[in-house]
Amino acid sequence: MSRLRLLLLLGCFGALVSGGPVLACVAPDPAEPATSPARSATALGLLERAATVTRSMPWHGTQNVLSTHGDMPSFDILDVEHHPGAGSTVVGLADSWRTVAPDLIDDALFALLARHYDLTVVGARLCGGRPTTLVEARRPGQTGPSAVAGRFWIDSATHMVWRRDVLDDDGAVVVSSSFSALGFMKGKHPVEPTASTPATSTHLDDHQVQQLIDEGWPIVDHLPSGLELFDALLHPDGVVQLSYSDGLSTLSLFVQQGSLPAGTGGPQREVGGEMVHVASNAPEQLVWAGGGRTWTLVSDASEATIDQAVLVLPHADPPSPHEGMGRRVWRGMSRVGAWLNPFG
Amino acid sequence: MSAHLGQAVNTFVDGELDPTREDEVLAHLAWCGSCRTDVATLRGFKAALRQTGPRLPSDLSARLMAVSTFPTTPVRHPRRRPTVHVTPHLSPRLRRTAVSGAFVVLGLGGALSLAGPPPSQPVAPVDPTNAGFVVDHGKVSGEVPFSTIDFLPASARRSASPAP
Repeated sequence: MSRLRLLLLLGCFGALVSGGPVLACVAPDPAEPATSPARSATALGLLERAATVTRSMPWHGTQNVLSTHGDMPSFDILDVEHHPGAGSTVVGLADSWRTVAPDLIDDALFALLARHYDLTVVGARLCGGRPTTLVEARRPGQTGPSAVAGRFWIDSATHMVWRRDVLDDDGAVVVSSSFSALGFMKGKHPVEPTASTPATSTHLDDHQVQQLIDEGWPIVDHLPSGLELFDALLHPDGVVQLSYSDGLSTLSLFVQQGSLPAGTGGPQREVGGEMVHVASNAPEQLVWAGGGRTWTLVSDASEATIDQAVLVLPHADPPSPHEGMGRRVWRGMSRVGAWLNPFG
Repeated sequence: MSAHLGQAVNTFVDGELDPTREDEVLAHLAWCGSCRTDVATLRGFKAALRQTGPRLPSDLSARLMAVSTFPTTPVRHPRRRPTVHVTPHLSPRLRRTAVSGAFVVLGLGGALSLAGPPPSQPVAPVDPTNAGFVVDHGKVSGEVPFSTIDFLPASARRSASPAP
């Protein structure tokens, strides 16, 4: 990459983070005191109303997403539509059945957010030229800039979250999503799933998750950094998806039985002495094998949070080449039995 | 009186009949030629034994008759030193156990050899580096996937394992 292109890219990134025209929202002064006490009813009410409006109203908007994962920041502009009952979709995607839900705050995650963070109304702020109310999610028991884990700019006109930032422990932005245009649609109806929709995944309840644990699946209900298991899915191809969140950052684990395919390559990085494959940076997708299973971690959380989660998950494979004597004898006898079985 | 002398021939030849019985035998031999032949044959056999074989002690019969009156106390034999048998003598039960054990060992060995090496761990059915996982993550988390993954073919999700 030429020096000129690098300077241009860095300049664009600096403009985005520091308040360029796309993500032009006024960040609060860290020294400025909050106008409301921690966990105020107003902050809860604003976010709860935003979640309700986002879920129940048909809307169309242009969303700008910035991620600082990896060596190079990623930025994308997405045209998003939301239809109540059908979820949100990114318009123009080739795989249109892959409905994504880029809601800036999800109702299911709202309870986690309120449980893990102190929600505070900072005050009225302009964001992209629109009047908004800034709500901060602060780490309990901490003060100063590092106390802020997330910021929500709630649009005064639509009552939806206009911009959402997730910050790491050092106060640096990890992920930022904001609208540059947003409006409600009239006369739109929910989009029905088409015939090409693949077999749906199955939500696993607590009893089914416990059954998987009894069968040897290493499923934990908590990960470091306060991540809680809030959803478990069984996909038609046998992959188990475990979703953890603290209300701001979400981490998905895709667990499947078997070893890594022979051709698994790509860049690797070391996490606490363990090597993992890096499949993508935005969001971060890490792959490794351990405990007789293959693990795929997808998350937009901070690198420290991801690394802590990687470390507590299985890495060392069981000594599979060492087979017990009894099991091997049984396998040999089964083989002889198969030979003698006229119906086999 | 019976038709022939039978066992009385031996007693007559040995001279061990009482006088009354000896008179009856002599009267029978007078008119029975068959019994006279038997008496003659037996006398000739005994005469031949006396001429060719060792002479038996004259008191042999009396000693043999007195066998039943021998003392019943066990006879003490001189103690023998234990000998080491090169070829062990196995009891039938032990022999059956050994044969059964041999069959078990042979069976286990055969099963082990037939089992072959342990089966290798199967490969994960879905490519773990597939970007479809990012989309599935976005559905749950509400996070937007980036455009770099939007151009994957729909079948890319199930392309981990090579076709059989």
